Amino acid sequence: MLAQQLANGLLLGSTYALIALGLTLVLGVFDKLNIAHGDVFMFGAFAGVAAASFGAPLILAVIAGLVTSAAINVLVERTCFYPLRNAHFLAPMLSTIAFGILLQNVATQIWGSDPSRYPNIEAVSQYEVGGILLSSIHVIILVISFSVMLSVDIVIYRTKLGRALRATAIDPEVAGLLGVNTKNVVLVTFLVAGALAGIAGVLTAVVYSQITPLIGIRLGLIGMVAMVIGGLGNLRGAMIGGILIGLVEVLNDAYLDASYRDLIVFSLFFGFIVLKPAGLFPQPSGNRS
Amino acid sequence: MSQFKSLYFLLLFMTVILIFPETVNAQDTHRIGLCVPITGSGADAGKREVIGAQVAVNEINAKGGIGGTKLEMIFADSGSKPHDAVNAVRKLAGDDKVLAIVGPHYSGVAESTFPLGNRIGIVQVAVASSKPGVAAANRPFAFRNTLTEDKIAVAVAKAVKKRHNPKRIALVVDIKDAVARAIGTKVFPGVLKKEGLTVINEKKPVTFQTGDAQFTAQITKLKALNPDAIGLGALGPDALNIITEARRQGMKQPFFGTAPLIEGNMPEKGGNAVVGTIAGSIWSSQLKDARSVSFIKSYKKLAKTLHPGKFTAKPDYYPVNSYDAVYMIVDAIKSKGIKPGTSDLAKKRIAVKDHFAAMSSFNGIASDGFNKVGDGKKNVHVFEIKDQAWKLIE
Amino acid sequence: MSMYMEGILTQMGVNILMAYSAYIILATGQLSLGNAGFMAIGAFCSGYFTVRLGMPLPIALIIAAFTSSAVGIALGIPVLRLHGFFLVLGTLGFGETVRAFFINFEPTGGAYGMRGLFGTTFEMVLITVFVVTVGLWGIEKSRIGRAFDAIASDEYAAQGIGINIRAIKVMAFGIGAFIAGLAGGLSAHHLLYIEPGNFSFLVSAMAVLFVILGGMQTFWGAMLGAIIFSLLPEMLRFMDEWRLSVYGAALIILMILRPNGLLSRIFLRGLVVRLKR
Repeated sequence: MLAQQLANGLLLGSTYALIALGLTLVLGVFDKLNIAHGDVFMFGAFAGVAAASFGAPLILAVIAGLVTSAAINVLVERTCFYPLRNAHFLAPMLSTIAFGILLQNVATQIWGSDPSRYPNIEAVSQYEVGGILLSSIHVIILVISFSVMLSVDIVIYRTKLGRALRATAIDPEVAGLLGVNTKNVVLVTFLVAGALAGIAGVLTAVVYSQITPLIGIRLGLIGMVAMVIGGLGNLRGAMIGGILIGLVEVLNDAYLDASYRDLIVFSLFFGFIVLKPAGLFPQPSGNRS
Repeated sequence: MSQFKSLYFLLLFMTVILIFPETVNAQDTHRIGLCVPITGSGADAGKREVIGAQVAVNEINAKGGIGGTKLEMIFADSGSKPHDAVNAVRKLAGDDKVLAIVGPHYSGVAESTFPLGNRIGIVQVAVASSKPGVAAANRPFAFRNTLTEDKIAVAVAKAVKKRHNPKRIALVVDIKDAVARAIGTKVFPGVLKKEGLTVINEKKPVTFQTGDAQFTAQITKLKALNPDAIGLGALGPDALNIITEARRQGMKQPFFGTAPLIEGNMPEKGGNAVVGTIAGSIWSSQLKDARSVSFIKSYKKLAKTLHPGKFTAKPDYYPVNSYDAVYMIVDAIKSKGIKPGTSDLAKKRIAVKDHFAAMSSFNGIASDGFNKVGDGKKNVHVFEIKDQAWKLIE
Repeated sequence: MSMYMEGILTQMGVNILMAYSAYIILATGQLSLGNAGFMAIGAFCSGYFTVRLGMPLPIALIIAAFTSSAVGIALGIPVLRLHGFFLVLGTLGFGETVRAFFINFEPTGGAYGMRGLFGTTFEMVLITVFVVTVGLWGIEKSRIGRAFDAIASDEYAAQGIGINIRAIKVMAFGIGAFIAGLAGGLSAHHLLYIEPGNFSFLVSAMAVLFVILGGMQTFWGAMLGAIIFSLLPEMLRFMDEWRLSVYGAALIILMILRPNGLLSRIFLRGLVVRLKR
């Protein structure tokens, strides 16, 4: 049973990793926390479900979610961050909370508060590998999640765009002097972070089958937990942090009681910040205070 | 200085609020309140309840009202949250001066508005709350036109035994939702034992939290227990996710539960995975008696104009409860000879309460009055999922 | 006054207290997104004392507020070395941990919640808000208030002139938690029933949002923010199902229009001069 539970945890954790990745990207490059990230995720999930209910195949549904979430995340930047760039650092963050409230209620108006379901997910084949039961859909999800994580990693650490991003993260002024268009970098960051949330949203809808407008609240918080445990601002750390939290949750539910889950996850979160604020993988290039 | 202008504007703004128009003393209608959510997590269910209640009001007024006096229903959004609902009840009782209130929806909200109703002295008839003991704890003004889950559980257990004859039952329990938790930890263990079935994980049930995004861990654990059938202390949406995940992990055993399972269109959404699932409820759109059929027709017609949408198109048992609740209040008005208008309101409200307290029988679509602690008396129907619908088990 | 107005004003009073509790921590250059945790402690503690032990509400409130304050001080010490987003996330984690704790804490009903609370009156809330406002006004005028200012504007300079920064910062958490504890107790006995789910992260966030929207330079700003944004959802009832969407949009728009809040100290001084004229 343990092997199967570890596989379950990996699957859950891969979604958390995608959410944490988007949060970390914005925080790392731009030094801003987007609390509506979970709700951007939710909107992407609904867009994917809507596309699928019109008969779109999985890949198109994922693209629908990706595009929607990316667009909304840019909207978040334009309404919550850009106009408040000179205000107290809490102001844009709190503005994103208001944006989250707006997204939740608009989603309720569009798609309803009753759970929506991703259609046609029964046509899956099952594989048994060394006593672990995996369905084709799980394999697809894992492949998509990990290839997305890998490509983000490559873009950030191996390409020119990645260098521009990292340069902006370290010092926007110097990056600007070196010819980096920091305004564009910020937009690209939000676009990519939103796209990641959208992918995660659609994949969650596919695997766990039902979504509601309030699903993003907890998942956004969990994304933050993963981000902190992985090391604030560290992309690879965030991915590993997400997977670790997935494992912790699954093992808790498997061997303890679900009512302890939040207590364990959030105590871990609080404990990390107070005792080991740098997380498991301290940010190497660090501009963090 | 623009800052001063904005402050003046704000002050004006507030003053307008503070002198809220006190509602006129309407002498020419019977006025009742409706307090259910149309925003927040219960928005869709609340909208269905609004439609159900409005169907009743329209019917009554189409027949010339109550003794020639129109019935007027005033709505206030409970926002799916206690503090919004408390304000809504205060508004309906205080400003709108309604005779009695249909609502609230949630048990967690009723826990706040029921004691408030007792303080004000106004009857509330909840239409969805089924957390055990909530009405009993809030005598005398609290009523629930819903059935607590224990009675449904007995009927379901009998049906499951007859249909599958299982020996070993495992329970899956939502530890966050009070109703689902009570079903899984208190109601089912007792009921199943009485039917001679063994609950193999009574002490340590498989647990989850309302609205969890994944159930893989729970199902892997459940599978290892290898039960003959699985009892669910779960709300409809979670139950659907649990059963789907169980089928995906290769479990073939039947699932059963009580009324919350009927919520959320499980048969259509779940496809083959949920076939054979057994649940009990007080009403279903599958029922073919004349009044149910006529209600469904009126409901569907009204739903095209009032809160139209995918999730309000078809009635479940909540709008039936709100429909019946309106008629119960009308029954009180008629038999206690309550006059229209808002004079002597406190006495009129007490008259409604007295009538409800003595309402040991009632001829509603799915309501037979109230028991001694203010909970509904209802017929239980047991259903099984077949051909993408809940089919009545005779 | 109608009972509806009374209900609105009571909840407004609770929100003003929550805004104060966020303000006092912000005033020392720190912040807390975990004040719902203090509110929960105040609510469940006072509830336990009145319902289970039969204590009168005012006494229960004060004991609960001191309990919450003690927890606040205990939280204030470890978070001293946190800044910026670490502080945001640390306090957020604290608030969620408290909520999760009460879900598992059976003496106050666990996830089932707690019944039988009553006794909060509008007058009681009014008096509490008045006393706390006077207290905050006193602090702002006192040496402690100046120390707050000094720390918020330049910590190193403040240390230079001999201010015990650590003590002041921890004290701010203690006072903030005390006020949030009062708010929690009053709110619990107004809503007549409490469950852990009532004290989510959003409650903490709204408290800080009131302060930012009202203006964080003075506690009058906190009060104004809380007043406006407790009334708004009720005023928007005519919007029916769009009510909360409009509320969210209003918050965002106001933030864009007045990123530094509605009230500032300069503005208040100008107002005083005008009124004296």
